Amino acid sequence: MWVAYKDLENQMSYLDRRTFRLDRAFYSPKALFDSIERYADLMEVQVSEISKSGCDVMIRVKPEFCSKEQTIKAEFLNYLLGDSILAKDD
Amino acid sequence: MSAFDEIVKKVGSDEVYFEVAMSVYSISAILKASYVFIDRCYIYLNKESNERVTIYLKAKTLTTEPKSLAGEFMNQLLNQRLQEIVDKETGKIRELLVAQSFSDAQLVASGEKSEKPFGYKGDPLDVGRLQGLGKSDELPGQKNV
Repeated sequence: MWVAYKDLENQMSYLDRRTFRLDRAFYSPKALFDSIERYADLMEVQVSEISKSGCDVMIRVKPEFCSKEQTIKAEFLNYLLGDSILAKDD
Repeated sequence: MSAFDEIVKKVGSDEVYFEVAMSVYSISAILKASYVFIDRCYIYLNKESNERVTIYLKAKTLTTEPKSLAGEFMNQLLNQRLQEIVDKETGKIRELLVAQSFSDAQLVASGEKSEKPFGYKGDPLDVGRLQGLGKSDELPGQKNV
């Protein structure tokens, strides 16, 4: 059953997910909150499962922008990654 | 199916994902490679375990072939890892060379004992001679007594 679920998940685009695991090794908490603030007009983000290793974020794009849902999520994750990398260099 | 096709999985027309071993590539190498590609594709990094990271790439333009993007990304990973190794081996020498080139003082002992005294007048590196000032001890407008 688990294997079947993993196969199905692997055939989906990662942007179809609602919840994303953000590992602290790659994504910084400060960059996460900066990115949430930047994209606050387009989507709602719920941060859960915070641990030393990272956190889970649930993204819900606002209904009026649902036609651009994948692009908004992708832009958000890219902005977050870029910001996290720059934060690491500081 | 080639080995590359087995490693890189394609989703839809513009997305690929592949796993990399953290025993081979450091976190820093993965992040630096990602930053190089951040303007060409959407990237999501998911640490599956302490040993493996899954890298998801989605092309920003439809004209980009996602599998070639994955190939280039893998090469960039290797490049970044190699730079880390070279930096570890030669980083201290490079820092010393840069510090020496911006410093008036002799930071590295030459091994030979200079007969000339260190300092502005002594000119132990013969900078005055290299600049065509004639006698190194004599500066323009200055006469040796």
